[in-house]
Amino acid sequence: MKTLWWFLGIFLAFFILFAMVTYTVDETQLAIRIRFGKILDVHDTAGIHFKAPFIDRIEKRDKRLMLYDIPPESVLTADKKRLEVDSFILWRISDAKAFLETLNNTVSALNQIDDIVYANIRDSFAKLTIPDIISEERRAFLGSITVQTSENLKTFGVQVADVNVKRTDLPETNAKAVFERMKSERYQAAAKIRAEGEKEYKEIVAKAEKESSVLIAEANKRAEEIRGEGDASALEVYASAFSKDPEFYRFWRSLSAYENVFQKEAVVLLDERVDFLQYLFSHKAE
Amino acid sequence: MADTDKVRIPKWTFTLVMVASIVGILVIYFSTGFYNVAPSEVGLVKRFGKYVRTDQPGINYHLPAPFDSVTVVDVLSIRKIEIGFRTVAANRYASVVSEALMMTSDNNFASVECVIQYRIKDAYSFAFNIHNPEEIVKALSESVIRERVALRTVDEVLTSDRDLIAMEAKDRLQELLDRFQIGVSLENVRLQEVNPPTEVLAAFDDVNSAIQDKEKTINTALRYYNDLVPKAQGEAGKVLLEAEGYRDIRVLAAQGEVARFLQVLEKYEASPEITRQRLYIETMEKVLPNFKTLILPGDSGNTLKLLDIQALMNGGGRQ
Repeated sequence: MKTLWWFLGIFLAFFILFAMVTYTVDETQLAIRIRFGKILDVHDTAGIHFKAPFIDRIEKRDKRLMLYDIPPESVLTADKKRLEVDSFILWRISDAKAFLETLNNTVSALNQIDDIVYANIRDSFAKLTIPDIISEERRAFLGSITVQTSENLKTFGVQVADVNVKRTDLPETNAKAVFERMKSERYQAAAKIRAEGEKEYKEIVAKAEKESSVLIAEANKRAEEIRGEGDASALEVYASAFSKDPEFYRFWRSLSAYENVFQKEAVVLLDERVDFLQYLFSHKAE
Repeated sequence: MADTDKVRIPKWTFTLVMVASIVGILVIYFSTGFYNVAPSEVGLVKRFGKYVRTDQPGINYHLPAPFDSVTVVDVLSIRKIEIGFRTVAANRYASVVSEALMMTSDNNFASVECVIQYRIKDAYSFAFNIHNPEEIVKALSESVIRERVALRTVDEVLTSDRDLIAMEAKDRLQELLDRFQIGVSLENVRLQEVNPPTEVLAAFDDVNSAIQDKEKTINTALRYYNDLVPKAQGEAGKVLLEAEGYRDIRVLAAQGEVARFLQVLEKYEASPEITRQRLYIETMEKVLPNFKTLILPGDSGNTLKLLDIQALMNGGGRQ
């Protein structure tokens, strides 16, 4: 029985001692060993580490890549336009000693980052026009902002992976102006399209009228030619027959003309010497 | 010891109970190390905070605290990021205007809604290297989509370049995710609704209705054309046929008349004088009944002057 109690006691004592001289560092953490306010060493490898009991203090910080979404800031571009720039930064603590000595905690780190990124973005945008900012060039200047920010934050033990601009917006009042411009552009385009429609309408109608008048005019021309042909062939037919005895034709044609020409109710004075009346008042042969 | 002697509990029984309870406590303690990994997940086991192994789906075991701990990560399920809208409930969406409005290269705005689907390809990185990885993926996605949209005019964004934007954004985003070792692989970047901003929607719609108006106007004109030209063709045909009719009639009439004349001429040549007289008399016979006829005796030149022709005409001149 006694041995069991002894065994338990020794086990417990060993356990407590072990807990006092060791500490664990997680995969996501950095650990800083401080003795009497002085940083002894930094462990960024996960696992179990040793320390002196009572006199060593362990501070842990997150070493993961972190996102800080910087509140939108207003900057002025080279072409004197005001832009709302919504940026973010990907950062991590790379040098725990420097970090602890200068910033100590995340809140003050974010303040520092805020100031530096804003300054760099402001300086960088001040040299650029809006077309530059939204062009393929953007990567280059964002790259140089990242490099600059990295340089500035190095002394604080902060490593910058990326400074990126999520949004570059025109401020509210400008946005309204843009909407107005977009609207007027569209209405203009619509008016132009409708005008084109009208133009085509007029062209087609004019073409229809032209084509139909030309068709009729051509038909009339051809009709006159055909009539002419008719008249000509008729004359030819007459001429070929009548030339056989012109004198008789004249006589015969005159007779039929008399039949047609004289109207009813016409008054005719006939001299009794007219051939036809030769026998009216006399029966003698000539 | 005297007390125990009194109640007469044998020494060995007490020891047995003690050992049994210690063993029991140890069994319970070590059994807390069993854990389950679902089929789409893996378990990352850490010993004293240090990563030691990855457990596959099924029942697994790790040493109990404070030795081991486990982080379970879903690596097969597809995760989704929504830009410009949020899924409120199944098939119900709410748009987030400030996120959807993106500036285009011609200083206009387009409202772009986009879905990014991704999967974890490196559970270690995702779980241990990145703080809040979902937010980082989202921030990078938004930045990349805006960058791709900003390179195009509003018309290109709204029409032709939708797929291109999604394709370029996917490549670019994957490049960034790899560079920062976020440990995710993109499945899909898809542009959903891409519209003009609501403020200018009416104006954009007006352009569409203008296109329709234009077509309608042109169709009206074409209808007029298709009505007028065939009518003119008909009219022209009619004019031609009439002319041809005239020509044929003229020729036929001439031929008829000539035929008649030739017949008469034949008879006439047989006995000219008789035929001539007969024709003359027949004609007079036909012609004269139409007239009011006054017959004047020969040498009546003077008498003629004395006649009241008007009176004769009215009184019925035939005598």
